[in-house]
Amino acid sequence: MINEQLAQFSTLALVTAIAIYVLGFIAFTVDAVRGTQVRSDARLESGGEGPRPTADEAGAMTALKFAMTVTVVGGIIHVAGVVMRGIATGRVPWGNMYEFSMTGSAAVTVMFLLICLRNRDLRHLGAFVFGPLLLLMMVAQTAWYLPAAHLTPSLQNSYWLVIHVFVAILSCALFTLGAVTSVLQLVRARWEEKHAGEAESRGLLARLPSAKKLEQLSFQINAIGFVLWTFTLIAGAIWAKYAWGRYWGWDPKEVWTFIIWVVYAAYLHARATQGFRGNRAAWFSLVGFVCLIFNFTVVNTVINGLHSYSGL
Amino acid sequence: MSTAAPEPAAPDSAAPESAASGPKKRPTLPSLGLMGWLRFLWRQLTSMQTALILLMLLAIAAVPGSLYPQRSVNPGLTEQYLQEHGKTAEILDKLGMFDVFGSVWFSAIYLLLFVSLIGCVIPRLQVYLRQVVAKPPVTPRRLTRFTGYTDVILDPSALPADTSADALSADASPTSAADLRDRFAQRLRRSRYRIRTTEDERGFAVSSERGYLREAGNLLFHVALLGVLIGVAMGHLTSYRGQVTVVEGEGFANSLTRYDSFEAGPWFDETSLPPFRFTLDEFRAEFNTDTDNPREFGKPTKFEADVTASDPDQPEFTKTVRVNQPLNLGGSGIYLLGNGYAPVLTVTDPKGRVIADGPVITVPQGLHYTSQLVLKMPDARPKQMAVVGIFAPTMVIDDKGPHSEYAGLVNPEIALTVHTGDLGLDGGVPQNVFQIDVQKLDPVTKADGSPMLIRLKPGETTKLPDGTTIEFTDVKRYAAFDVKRDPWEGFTLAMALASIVGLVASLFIPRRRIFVRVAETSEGLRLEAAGLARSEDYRLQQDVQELVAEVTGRKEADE
Repeated sequence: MINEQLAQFSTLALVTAIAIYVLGFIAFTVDAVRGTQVRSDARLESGGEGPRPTADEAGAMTALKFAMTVTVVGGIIHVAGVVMRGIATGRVPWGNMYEFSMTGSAAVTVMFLLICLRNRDLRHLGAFVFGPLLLLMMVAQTAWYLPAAHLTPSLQNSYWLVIHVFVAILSCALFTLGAVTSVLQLVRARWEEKHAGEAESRGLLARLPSAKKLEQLSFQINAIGFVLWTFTLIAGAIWAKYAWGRYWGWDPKEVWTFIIWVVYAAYLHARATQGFRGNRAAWFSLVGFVCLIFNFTVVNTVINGLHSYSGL
Repeated sequence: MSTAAPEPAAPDSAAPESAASGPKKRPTLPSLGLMGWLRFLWRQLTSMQTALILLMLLAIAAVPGSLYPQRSVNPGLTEQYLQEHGKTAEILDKLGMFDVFGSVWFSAIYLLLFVSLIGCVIPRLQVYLRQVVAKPPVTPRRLTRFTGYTDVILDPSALPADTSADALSADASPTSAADLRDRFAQRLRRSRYRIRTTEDERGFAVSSERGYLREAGNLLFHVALLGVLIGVAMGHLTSYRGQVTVVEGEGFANSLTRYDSFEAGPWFDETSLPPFRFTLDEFRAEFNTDTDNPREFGKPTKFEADVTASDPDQPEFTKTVRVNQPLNLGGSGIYLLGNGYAPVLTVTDPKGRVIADGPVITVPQGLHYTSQLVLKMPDARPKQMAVVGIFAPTMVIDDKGPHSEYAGLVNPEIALTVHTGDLGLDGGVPQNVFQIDVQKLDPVTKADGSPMLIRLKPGETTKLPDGTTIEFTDVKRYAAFDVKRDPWEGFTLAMALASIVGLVASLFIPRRRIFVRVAETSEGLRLEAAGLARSEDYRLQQDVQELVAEVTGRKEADE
């Protein structure tokens, strides 16, 4: 019943996507570092007359363009790999941690590309997105890989598997992007403090959007993530009711879903609280993200609960 | 508890200053007095900082609930932990670590949080209700400091013709300042802004506001959370939950005596159990044999229970109950949660008296259903008797002892020992039917004194030295169901969904004002427009400029 050949193609596609993303990651990094150099070179050459557009600048653009092209290609192969896995198994491709990671990282890629479509400046953030993403995909491919298989009965006969887990994937992807922007915001804010009053500054951080912009972006992403997480929680509760007869039972996974929800709620409140706005609030979102990682790794693998049927 | 307002969430409630009128004459104010202290505490509790701290405390307090076994979730595991960890576990138990979500400290945090929420929502609700009926404030005198400030001089004759319905005719008279203002007002009203027009020596102005739903959403979100809490609490008080095991061919009638375990809330009326009944006609389980992967082999792929059911409202009907597809009877849900094998044993004593007859429910362990079998026979004479052993659907006996290698019925067999003695059932202490301590019993032995191991396949019979016979006639499957009813479930769900609606409104509806002023000057019409963001609003500047461009017909209002 499992289409073994298609499943193998899927694995091949996902490994290929990882390889392509590595290329993209290198290109993004080159863009970030080279852009920095171009600025400082230009400053040296122009003798203080301000930077001028040079051939080098065009070269830096090419690195970025290359990175984006490669990422789009990688993204298509990645999504195809996930879809093939779904067809091969005849079910949604999020039945275990490996599939969840692969589908989730595909969602991150797609969202990153969509965000870049809206705001082209954010393409420079590519290296910071694909760094952690590659880490996740590589861990998933090496440590969590499971061959294509059927679902256990507890995951069958329920469209809530489709809804609950899919929305969970989307919100995890958003929280990941939100965490990346929050980290960049904090780093950039410190940099801005240090370089306040300088007419022209160079360095990797000079190319980032302003801390204020990053804060806004991170809020927008995290706010959507929070709404989807709330929905994940409610959809999970409805599914729990159909599966176990109760909508909430403080199973470890439920506990952590609740903790993450509360921490991100605190983040939203912190943004509206005197004395916490801006960078302090960003720390709350990072705490939330750490809880999310804990929920996905330790709670799935170490703590035994009702959600531990996925065989990882 | 505001998630949104960047401005101070709400002005402090306009509490009457009566309590403060007394000490007014004394400027030193040495004490706040009781009322003063209460008010001070209330202010502290309902402040955003406190809410923030309580939220983080709630998150931290929930952590041990996932690290330690919880009595309410897994009582067996909790007992085991207590026994294994001795003194430390006792201290942890006193601290409530095994019942985190019912503990005093956890309850205190969330109750304080909800009090803080109420204290925040009520004044905001008052403010909001006042705002909803009020008109937008008048256009400020100076607009320069607002978002997207636009200041242009327009040639009145170059403006596009008014195409709206109330333009009397397409006459070519030049547009007046009032006309242009009205066009803006109309355009804004079409975009669901609430408007207020004024005229003064500075010109004709329109002030507009929209996004009232943002605050409504915020209030709805918080009130709905309160609703969720009420729904959960009421559900806890009025629900019941029970576990039953039903062997194929047998039935279940909903009454307290038939449950293996039963819990109900303090307000649950035990006489109100709905009188439904059902019979388990067949239970089907399938396991994966179509794989080369040893980790996948034998994993379950299907559990299905065919039942014939009836309740007072409907005639008998048949249904297949699956995991995730419960049966609904008389308002209660019946959930398939477990299954296993029940070998049918008949034990006859030497006098020909049947002392046990029927399916024995075994407890499966592991993927391949190596099942623990315990059969207590208090009616055996002269001594009470118990049978303890293993049932395996696919029996293998090797150096690991008897165990099953596959969950399907390929080579069903039981391996058991027989013990005699006082089973301790007469002491009145309730016992687990699936467990027995054989230390205090005497094993039935072979002639050489070693315990007698009996192995039986279906259809086989064995005779003990004393003449007792044990017959293994057949293997049946059983299904374990949870029966549950929570009358407040629907309410809680409705509240949860309402909270999502409120959340979306409170996060994504921008609350904003847009001001437009038109004045007649010697060079033409002077148009000023600007916006005021009252929440997260990234499009305001763009929207102000687009509004000006659209109404005046200018390509782009950029400078």
